[in-house]
Amino acid sequence: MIYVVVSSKQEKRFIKENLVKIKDYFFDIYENTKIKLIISGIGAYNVSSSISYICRLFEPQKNDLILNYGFAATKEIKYVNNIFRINTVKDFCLNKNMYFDLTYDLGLQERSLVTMPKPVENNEMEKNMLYDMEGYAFYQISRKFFDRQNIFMIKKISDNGKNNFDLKNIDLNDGLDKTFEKLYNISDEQEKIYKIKELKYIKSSMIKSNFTKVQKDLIIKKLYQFLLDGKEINNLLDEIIKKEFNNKRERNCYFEQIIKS
Amino acid sequence: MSKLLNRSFSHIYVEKQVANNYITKNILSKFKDSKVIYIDDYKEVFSGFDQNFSIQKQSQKIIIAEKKDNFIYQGSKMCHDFNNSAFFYANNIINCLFDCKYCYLGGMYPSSNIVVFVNIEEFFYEIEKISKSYKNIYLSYGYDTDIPIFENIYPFIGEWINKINELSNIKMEIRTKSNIFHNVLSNKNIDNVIPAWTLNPQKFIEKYEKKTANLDERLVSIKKVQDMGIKVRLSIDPIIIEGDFLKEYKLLIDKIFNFLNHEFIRDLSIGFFRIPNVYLKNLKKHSNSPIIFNNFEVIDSIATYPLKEKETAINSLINYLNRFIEREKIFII
Repeated sequence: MIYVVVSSKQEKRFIKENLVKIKDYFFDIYENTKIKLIISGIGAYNVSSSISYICRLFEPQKNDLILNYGFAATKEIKYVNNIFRINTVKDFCLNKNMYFDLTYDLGLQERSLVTMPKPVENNEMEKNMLYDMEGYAFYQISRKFFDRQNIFMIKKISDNGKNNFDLKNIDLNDGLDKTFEKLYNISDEQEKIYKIKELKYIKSSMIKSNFTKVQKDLIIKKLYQFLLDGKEINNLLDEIIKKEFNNKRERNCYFEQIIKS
Repeated sequence: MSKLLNRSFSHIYVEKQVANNYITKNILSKFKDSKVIYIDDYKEVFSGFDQNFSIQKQSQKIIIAEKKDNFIYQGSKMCHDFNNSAFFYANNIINCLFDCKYCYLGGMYPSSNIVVFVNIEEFFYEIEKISKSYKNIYLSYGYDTDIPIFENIYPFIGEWINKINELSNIKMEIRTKSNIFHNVLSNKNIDNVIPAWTLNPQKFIEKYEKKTANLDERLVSIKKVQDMGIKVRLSIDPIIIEGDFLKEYKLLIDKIFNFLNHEFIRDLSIGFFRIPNVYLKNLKKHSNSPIIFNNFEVIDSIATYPLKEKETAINSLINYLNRFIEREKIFII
């Protein structure tokens, strides 16, 4: 699964995949079988809350990726419509840097990004740097939910300063087809490493068990941990699925035994 | 998978404070196609367990940095001190280019990127200090890596050998799984160096010691060093208990002693697979290697094979080794 975070509807237009809007009270969320996209709103607070929200809602797996795609500004106007992968992001206020893991190759040129608290004027910009308002927060919060090598940021240059943004200057036909193909392949390759098929089997098996939803979720996490520790879990899983209880007390006691094991 | 990856060393991170260091410039001159990213502190890239060691291993990056403290460590109780009371180790490179599936590095460090500390003068200053405190010192250099394979990146070994030769009371061991060590050592005064090789049956090398030299290549390299008149240390470590392993290790011993010059074997150490339990737990988070999912027992926080299994095997191996080498030259851990 690829989690895509964009800050506006205009940026969503670059994601050419067919997505269906889902019912959600707080955010605009779109999905298909391979993508979950959230429109966060502009700024660090919005992107932070949207990532936390979407991750709590869908509980990403270890082989899921997250991508921030959006507009950025740069000093030189000649770069408008260029697309760059971000390798370093700096928070302008904190004056701190964070570095993306560059294990995977997306075939894009790279740049460093500075995240500002507000739109920036051209004369405030340094050469060769990109500027946005969400990047640092996106990366910082994503690291709580995703392994570093699964976090990506791609920026399309939209303007060269605060007063120069005009959607008419931006080529909306640029798709990210090749990039998405690579991201799908990355996620698929990691399935084996993280034993995702086995996890899916555990989840589908646990549906038949006689536990509450919360208990099922916790048991699944426990069994997955056993799996990653190399323990044999088929017999235990079989026992859990078939176990019947005379009452809630008995069920809860058994549940406690599994969780504490 | 390789089409999805950046090539190894596609990016080199350099701490700003060592950007003008002569070693930094030398290393960068060898990677003109790599993108250089300047950083404040290597830990900003290296630290944090939100990384996957095994995935990163397929596309390692170099981080050039300045070590700030802890230049020399007390020797680990998990390693043999060869009857030296003053046993220390030092690394100015963290992580390895080889990919051994049992390696503790995968449990010790959050990242498999290579960190190269270039302020070696400070390492040498600390070694000088220690050399004044002890009569004789056994120093293991490059334990958290395989130093000889980095010679093309920067020839650290020569600089370390020069330093050790200035201090007459240090014997420096350098251990490797490579087949190039004889080249590295040629034309150097290595009176105070103990060249050492790790050896395992070829079957286990193929299965668990990925990217390393095969057994024959290592033996040829060892022989070349012996031909220089230098006594070598051999290390059959870790012994892996799998299948008919006793037969495999006896065949290995036969091969070693049929090929090498017995007179120029300084000593031989043997040890079973062992790892701090906390490292083993970390290793299991990203590695699928069957070797780490054995039923180990944990004693004093060290996970290893059950004592009974080891005792039977070790007695058998020592008896077999005794045919070729004196008992006092065999060290067991």
